[in-house]
Amino acid sequence: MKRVKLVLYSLVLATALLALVGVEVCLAQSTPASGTHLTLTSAPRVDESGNPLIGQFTLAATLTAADGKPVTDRPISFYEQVNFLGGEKEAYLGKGSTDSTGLTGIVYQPANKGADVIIARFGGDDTYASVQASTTLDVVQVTPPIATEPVPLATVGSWLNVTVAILVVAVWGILVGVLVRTTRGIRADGGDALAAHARATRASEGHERSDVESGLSARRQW
Amino acid sequence: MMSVEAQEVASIREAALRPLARSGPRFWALAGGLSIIVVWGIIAFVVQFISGLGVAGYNDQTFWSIYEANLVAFIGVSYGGALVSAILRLTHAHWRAPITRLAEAMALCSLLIGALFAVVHLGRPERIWELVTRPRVDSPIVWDFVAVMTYLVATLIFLYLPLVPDVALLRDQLREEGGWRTSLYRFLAARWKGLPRQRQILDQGIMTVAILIIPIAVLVHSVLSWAFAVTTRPGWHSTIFGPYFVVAALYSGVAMVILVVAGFRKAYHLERFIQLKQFQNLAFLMLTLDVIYLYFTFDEFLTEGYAMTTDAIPILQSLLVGEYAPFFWLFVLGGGIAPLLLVALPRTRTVTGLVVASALAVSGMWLKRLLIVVPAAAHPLIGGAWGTFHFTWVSVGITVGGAAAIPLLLMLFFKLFPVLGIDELEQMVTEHGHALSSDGWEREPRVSLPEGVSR
Repeated sequence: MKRVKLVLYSLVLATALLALVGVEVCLAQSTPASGTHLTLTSAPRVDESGNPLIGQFTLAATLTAADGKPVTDRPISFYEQVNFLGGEKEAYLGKGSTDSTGLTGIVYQPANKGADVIIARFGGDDTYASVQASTTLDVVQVTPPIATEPVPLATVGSWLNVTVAILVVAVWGILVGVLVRTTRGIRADGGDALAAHARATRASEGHERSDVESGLSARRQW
Repeated sequence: MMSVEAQEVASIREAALRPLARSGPRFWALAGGLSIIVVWGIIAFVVQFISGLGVAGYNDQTFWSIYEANLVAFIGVSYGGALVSAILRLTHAHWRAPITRLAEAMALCSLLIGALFAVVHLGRPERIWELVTRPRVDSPIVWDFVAVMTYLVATLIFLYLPLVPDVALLRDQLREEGGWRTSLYRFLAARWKGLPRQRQILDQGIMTVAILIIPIAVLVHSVLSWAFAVTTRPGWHSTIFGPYFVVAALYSGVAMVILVVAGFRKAYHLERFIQLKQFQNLAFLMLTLDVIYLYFTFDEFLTEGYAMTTDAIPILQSLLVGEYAPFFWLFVLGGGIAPLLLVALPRTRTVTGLVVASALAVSGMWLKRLLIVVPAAAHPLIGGAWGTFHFTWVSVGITVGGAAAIPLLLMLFFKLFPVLGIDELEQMVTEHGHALSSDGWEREPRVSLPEGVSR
């Protein structure tokens, strides 16, 4: 009886120890990453002379740790909030890596006028927790995504297109012409040969029919 | 007792018509295997059609990728087949006779598959008809479409015309059998009887198309290259892209001709007709094109590297020492230098060696096309990180499916039509007096001509 009790106590103790180790492991794994803070700002983009570049913005995100120190060399992704097929979605704009001041950014060229919600997101890692920030742009002017200046082929106008089209039609014409001429020529000569053969056969059998009839007859037979 | 000529004519006919006979289990096993791969590709395309190009590894940044590379590579291969045949016909190279049919059929099959990749590459393929109804004539894509369609028509005619005498032979042999095959042969044979006047008309037609198909093929590949070059994107905006693409197409195309010829030679035991000489002649052509292509690559990189424009540096770096460098140097060594050595060294200039060289050239050139498309597309123009492209089962499935469709189409084509140009070979034997020997086509005529008659 004592032995049984000893075994039971041992089992309970072992289970408790295992549970303790398990909890410790879980706690060690789920140690929260330290808090982070992300700020997102936007500003109209300017050229070297300070003139604004119409329709372009600079999106800047700064990642800092809980103690306010910059978090360096971490990827920040930028998204635009869009309405797609009746649902709110995030369209990926680009990605940058934080520098020694925790700063990164991308140049953004909106496609549509109006309020545009931009989201910057740090996905988090073992050391730093994930965080996101958003800002709203008021887009007044947009630049078409495809630059139309200079207009392609503007110097030659539509004449180049017309000339190329004429050339293409000519090439197709020659190709089809060669095919038709060759097959027609072969067919005609083949038909003539058959007709001649039929004429010779009929002549030998004493038939007297016109050449035209013989030719037609031969073609039908074929 | 059959004459030597009659025996040779009989042996040519027997060999050329071998694929039309009842096929064995190995044929059907291979056809079945290829069909499964093609079906896999079709399923992948359906998935892509439903889910969008994202499932193929495409994204906003890498907007052109594997399918564009496939389009250029497959159409390029086709170009090689057509051009080899056209040039050899125009120069009256007698050794061409056993391989022109295979080259022309390969040109058509790879063109059909290559053109399909233009559809696969579209994000909204169901709108392709708008290319016809609402074309934007300033766009190179429209002219791509026109050029490829023109080339398709030319390739079809170029394949069909030399087939006429051969289908006439089949028509005569199968006259009693009836059925759809006889009707098809009768229609295609166009009452061919082999009369001198018919032969004259046919030869004129073939020669005209052979002349036409050379500039058409050059233009097709130039137009394909302009779809890249007329953009201002670094890595694509290059003045040498036209000839660069044309040479690339020829190089990979000649290599593909060697592979196709070797495959059918082995499968249908055509060793007596397709000999080492044909392989070596094609290989020397391949070697020349290989050297020219390597030169163009050097030239392209030298000028960009020397100028070191801000835009070009990242792409050049990524190719030479960066992310894409392993693939680039794999192309240089595997797709450029290794085939060159295999052809140049007499020891490896065997059929096996040349087949290995050709396989390396074809796969190396496909990789090079991918390296032309992806790094330049992934390079951001307005800041931000580089785009990426990852192979997915969808893009791999469609690509492999397309590649498998080419031999499958060829196998099915040669179940209907002779694998060798019977008429051309017979003409060589009966008119020119050439004969088959163990070490190639004899140069001197076997049949002596009467005095005063010139060849």
